[in-house]
Amino acid sequence: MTSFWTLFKQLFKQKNKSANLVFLIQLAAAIVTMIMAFIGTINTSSFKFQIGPDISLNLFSGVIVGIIATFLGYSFLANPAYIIITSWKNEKVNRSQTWRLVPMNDGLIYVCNTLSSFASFVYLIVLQAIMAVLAAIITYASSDQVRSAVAMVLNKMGMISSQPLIWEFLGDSLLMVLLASLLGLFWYVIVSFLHFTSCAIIDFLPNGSNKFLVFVVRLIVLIAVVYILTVLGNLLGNIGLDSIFGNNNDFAVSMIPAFIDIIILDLIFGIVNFLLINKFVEAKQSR
Amino acid sequence: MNDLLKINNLSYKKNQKTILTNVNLNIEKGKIVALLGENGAGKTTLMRIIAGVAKNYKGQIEVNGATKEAERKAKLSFTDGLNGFSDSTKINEIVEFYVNIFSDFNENEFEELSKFMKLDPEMKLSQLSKGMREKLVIALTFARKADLYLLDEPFGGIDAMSRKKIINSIIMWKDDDATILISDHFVNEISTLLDEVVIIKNETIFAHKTADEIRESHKSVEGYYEGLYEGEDD
Amino acid sequence: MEFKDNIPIYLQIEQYLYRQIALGELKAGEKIPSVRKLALELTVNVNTVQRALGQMNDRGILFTKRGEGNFVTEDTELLNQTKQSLIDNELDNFVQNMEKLGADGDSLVSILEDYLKRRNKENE
Repeated sequence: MTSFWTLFKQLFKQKNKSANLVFLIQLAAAIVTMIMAFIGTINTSSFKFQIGPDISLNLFSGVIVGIIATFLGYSFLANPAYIIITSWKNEKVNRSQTWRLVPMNDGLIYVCNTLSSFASFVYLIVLQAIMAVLAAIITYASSDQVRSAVAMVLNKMGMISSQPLIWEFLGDSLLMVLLASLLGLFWYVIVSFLHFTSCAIIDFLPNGSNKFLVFVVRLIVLIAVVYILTVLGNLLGNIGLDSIFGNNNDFAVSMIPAFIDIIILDLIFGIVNFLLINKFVEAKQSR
Repeated sequence: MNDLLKINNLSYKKNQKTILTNVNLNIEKGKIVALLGENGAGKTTLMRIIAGVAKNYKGQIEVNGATKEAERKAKLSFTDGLNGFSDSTKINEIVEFYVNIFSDFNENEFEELSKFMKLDPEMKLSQLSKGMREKLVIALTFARKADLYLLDEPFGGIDAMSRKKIINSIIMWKDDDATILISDHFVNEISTLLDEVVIIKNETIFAHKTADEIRESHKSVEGYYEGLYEGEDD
Repeated sequence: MEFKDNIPIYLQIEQYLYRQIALGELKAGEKIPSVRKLALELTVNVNTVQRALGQMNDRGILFTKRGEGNFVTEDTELLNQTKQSLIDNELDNFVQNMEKLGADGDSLVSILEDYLKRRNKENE
């Protein structure tokens, strides 16, 4: 039998192509955007990049940092795009006879498939994070003014709080990224759930090839999913997490209920999907 | 008995329509068996159920002692239409997938088979004719050292030369212990190859005979098969 | 070779090999092709060839050397018998067909003699 890890590597390779593609398009878009902006302002520009009242960068690092900043801004488009592309790929694999013939339990194939997309998503985020770090380093290294400004800000922060706030800031950003990736995983699980339940129902109903019927089934399942999600979300949100953590205003702590919500929902729907694919969801006929 | 494939009381419905009912079938190790029946009789469905890719059936299936789907999949090699790969995938890449995924896949044997079939590893799926694609599927299927081979209509819509190549590859590469189930709706091109014939009709196994049994009663396999449909109008 | 589909294939393979032996294509003591090669040549299942060879082994026409394959017997008596039975088979068919055409008994001999004379003349 094929091991989980073997299949994972094989699937990861496929998903990784999408991650790399999204990354390259994102970067190309950022470069093009910067070139356009640069051409538009070339006459009035003093070839100094103002990034603060008294702080500017030289031309080269300014362009690089500009590209990276634009690049990071595009993450808000690129990441959802990646998630949508790969959730499409996931569902193709889930019903493909080629993949389903892999000597492995169907539920595990499903888990492997979803996790490989997720891992590749994390890979994409890491690439983006590396870009962010790169931008920070270039900015910091290329200007004295930046260095003194950073020192000043850090100093001020140190006076307000006993803890170095920079770490709080980094930790909170990390948590945001984690939350975003968990939401991505959640999207995968919900899309599979929609797909699996509608497949199972359509195979069960008489006259399954009727397009209108298929549409109605999908719609009903979609409405049901939205309903279940709101009910579950409310329930989980009220489990008394507030009383445990009190009225702590800390941002990280305030995110904990959301984290737990999503993880629980991921698990519940993941387990249901596991059972559905094992018992009811057939591979598409391959011919 | 040395039964490699045992099917016990299998029934299967889809869209509330019975496709197979009360199917019981035992096949001995080492045999080449044709699975015959009209289009839509349920041949492919039966193979998909054995291979564990069709779901929600009732009954028991055993492939060389394995009853769980995952274990069955490890012991059988099913001709797959390769729809899990995009058209731009090269033969090389598909072979890599097989090497990684199937521990019983023998790359040397695949190479011999693909030489025999004249397949170019640099070709993309989209460049293959129907006959070439079928040859690739057969080469991939046979390069695994499985106990049971399920060949689903391997001769569908391909020219006589390709057919001959595929038949010869079956003779050349079949291990003595390997069991082969070939589905077709048309029998004369493989009739000399067969040990046994299984006919699916009326949603179940209508007949299961050895080829010699049929011939000893002075009928050809084809004549026998066609005789079963005589008096029915289509 | 083409098989008749209404006679068990293994019997036809036996007949085919007997003929090869009778025609001297396979000589006494000679090794016959491997099972797989025969199967490929005749486009039949290996199991079927094995069954045919098994029967020929039982009759003594072939003998097996362990690990080397099957050989034609060196027993000339047995080989002659085999050849004779092939000839008898052909004559059976011939006589049956001639009888259907109305040539039987004594007339068959004279018809055959007459035919052979004519054929010899044409060939001269």
